[in-house]
Amino acid sequence: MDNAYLAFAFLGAALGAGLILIGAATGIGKLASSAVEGIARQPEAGGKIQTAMLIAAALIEGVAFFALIVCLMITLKA
Amino acid sequence: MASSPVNHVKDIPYFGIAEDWTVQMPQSVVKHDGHYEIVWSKPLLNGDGGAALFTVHGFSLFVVATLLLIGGFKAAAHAKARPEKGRGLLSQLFEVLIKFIRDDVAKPNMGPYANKYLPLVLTFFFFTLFANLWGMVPILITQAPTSNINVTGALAIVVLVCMFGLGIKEQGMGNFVKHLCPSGLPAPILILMYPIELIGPLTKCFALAVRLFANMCAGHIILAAFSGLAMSGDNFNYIALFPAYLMSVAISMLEVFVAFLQAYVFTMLSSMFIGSFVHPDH
Repeated sequence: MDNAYLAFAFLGAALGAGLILIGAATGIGKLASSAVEGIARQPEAGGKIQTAMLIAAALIEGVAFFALIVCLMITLKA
Repeated sequence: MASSPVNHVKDIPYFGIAEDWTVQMPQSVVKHDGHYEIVWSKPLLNGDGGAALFTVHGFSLFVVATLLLIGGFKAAAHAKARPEKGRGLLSQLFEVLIKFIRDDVAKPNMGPYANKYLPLVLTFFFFTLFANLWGMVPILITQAPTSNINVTGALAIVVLVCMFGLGIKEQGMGNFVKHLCPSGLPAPILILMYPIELIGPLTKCFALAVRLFANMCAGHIILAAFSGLAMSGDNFNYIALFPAYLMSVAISMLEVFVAFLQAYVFTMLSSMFIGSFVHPDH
């Protein structure tokens, strides 16, 4: 019985990690596609676009890591 | 869970990877018959109600600080001593990074205060950069100090104190309180806005700490997992050895890039936060 609970805990953590991946990848992918498009349209604004892209990517990544740490804590506690 | 890759980033009071091959660090100092004695063997990390005096992360922190001090002073001395002969490799290396931080990070974010607070921003950058890179030095005694949440939390607290302290110092208390919220709002909305605007910096700094910690931590866990792929189970797996080796090389390269990127992102965001408090119309 104990093992079944443990399995559910691990399952939840792994599913959570997968869901985080979907969300973060969608966000960063959209961000990168529009940034590349912007640089292609306006190459002289490349530096500014790149900086803004990096900051936004870091923010998305930070939220993704919050969720990832929750998943990691589940696997460590279980 | 003795062989979990998460153990790789744990703060341990000894050098080494396995429990049967370790070098103990001094753990505490006790007063014994009027003179002080160093206790070597007592693991104080969990339980016993005390913190360890020296751990892998603490040791790495001291090494990083020492390297940074020596390198910085040497580069400054070179740049001062012989500008006509060329400046030498070390000070050129520092100069490239300093100029990048000044022109691309401090000036767009802090405006007229950029040169005044450039030393602070440079300290953030070089400390996080050296700390991140120290984790990639391939000796067993190295661990990135930034893969410990306490180190990054302390850095974020410094950023938070700088945001409020420098904001009050540069604007004065009255203007600082006035500029916390956009002007021209009716009173009921202001009552709602002030708590939100005061909680904002706290969450920003918390995110700053967790981002750096999680990036460094996750990279090292992945490296340990790939390196341990060949050793999973009881016996050594020779077929898995080669791909595991290749993957850990590739992840190591990615980690060096991430070390630079995260140092840049930390500096960028902290200078942006400090700049927005020091210089309200920005």
